[in-house]
Amino acid sequence: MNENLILLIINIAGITIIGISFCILPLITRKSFLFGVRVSPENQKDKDAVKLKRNYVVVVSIVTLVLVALADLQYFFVPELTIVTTTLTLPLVFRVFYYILYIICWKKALKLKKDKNWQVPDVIYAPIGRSRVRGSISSVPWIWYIICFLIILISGLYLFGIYDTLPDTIATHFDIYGVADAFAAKSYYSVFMMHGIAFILLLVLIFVGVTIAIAKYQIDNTNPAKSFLQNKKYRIMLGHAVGFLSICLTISMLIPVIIMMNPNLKMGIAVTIIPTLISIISILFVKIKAGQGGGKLKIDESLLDTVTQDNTTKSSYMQNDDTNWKLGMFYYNKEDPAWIVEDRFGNNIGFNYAKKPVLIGSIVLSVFLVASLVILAISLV
Amino acid sequence: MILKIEPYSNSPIYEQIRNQIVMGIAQGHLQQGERLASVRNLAEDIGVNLHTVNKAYQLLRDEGYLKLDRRSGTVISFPKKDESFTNILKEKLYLSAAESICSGMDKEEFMDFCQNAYKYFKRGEK
Repeated sequence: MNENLILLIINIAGITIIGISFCILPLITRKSFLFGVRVSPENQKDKDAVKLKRNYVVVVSIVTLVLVALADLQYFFVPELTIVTTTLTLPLVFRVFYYILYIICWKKALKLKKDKNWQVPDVIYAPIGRSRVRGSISSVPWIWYIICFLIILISGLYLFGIYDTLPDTIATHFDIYGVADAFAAKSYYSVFMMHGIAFILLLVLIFVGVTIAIAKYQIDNTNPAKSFLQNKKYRIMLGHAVGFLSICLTISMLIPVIIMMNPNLKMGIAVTIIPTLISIISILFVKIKAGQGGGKLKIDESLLDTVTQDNTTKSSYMQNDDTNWKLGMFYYNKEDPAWIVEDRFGNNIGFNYAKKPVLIGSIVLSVFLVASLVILAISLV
Repeated sequence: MILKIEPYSNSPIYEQIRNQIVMGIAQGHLQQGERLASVRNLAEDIGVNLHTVNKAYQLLRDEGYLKLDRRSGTVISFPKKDESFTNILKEKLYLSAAESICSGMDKEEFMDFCQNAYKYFKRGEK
């Protein structure tokens, strides 16, 4: 099988998975939002809301099919462009399309809420005293990251020890069959490059671990006390899953380095793929088992805390936090001192874009990503 | 204890925080020496300006419900029943009595309200 065909199959599978996740994610995540607009679970059953969701699924499905067809056509006519078009461009086009569609649905949901006068009480719950939910930097499960650091350090020292005995030419890249196809002269840079990358990745994962511990999560207002406890449990589970992920990624990056040093060795692709897959599955398992913010976790009811005021009485103030969520997905609240918040779907971590460094950082990062993609695409053509 | 804040209510947020902490202490949900969230943390949780929470804490400190502990930060404390406290209480009660009389409430009914309110908080004592 040639390399372009394998790439194509991987890409089509990728597009299909992205399509399916785009289809179901806004529908299975928090019941209190309709495309980022706060509504009550009863409003979700309204016939126009159901219709909006159905149309959304139909459009995403059609676009997924069209993109898969485009990928096939491209392979049929110009197979050598597979990596540029199908691997790099199509997922990007899909994302851009998805955001445009989401914004259209968000606008329609806002209009529905206004036209139908859907009223959702606006109440914020905040734990105080012993009931604190959000952790601090000390509540990150550091043990995982310390082990990662030790793996990088020890394998680095090992390489340093055998540096003089290494051959003058070492493999730097392997094709998908695990056969070395790029080589470099021996230097500290070529030998320790992967260690450098693994270390930078470790720093990124530590940042993710810290954000999980300290981010502000959205609370289910129907039972805030329970929601806070679930949230606490969820943070701990997800923190360990990310810690486990960092160990798997570190191992999957550094074991090949040891093999790479000997160009005669053939490296199975499994060495890198299996640990990565195991760790991704563990994170998915936590996410699916726990639900958004831990909403599906079982909680010992006797531990439930007291809400100062009776929470069965509905608030009479019906303005909602919709205005703090620009385009239904970007949190923008000048008053809020928080930098890191949960995103509107409850799947990920987002930022408070009212903070100037966050805004500037994200613009710089987006420009950098798009520019590097363009440069990569040009260099491949 | 969990605070319940209504951001669009007529009563300002700092006042809601202040009142609920006082009620929490009376009900026994917050105990003497218990550590409260820092100003920044509580402001982040509620999503309001630091000054709002700071104002509530400052008010509570002035009234003796909170004190600064060098080791644990802001902790719960019980205020002393001094003259200024009784003066303020008298002022509030006088106003409530006046309002009750204006609305046609008789003495017994008013006393009932007072008793029930007192019992409501004492019942929660642990």
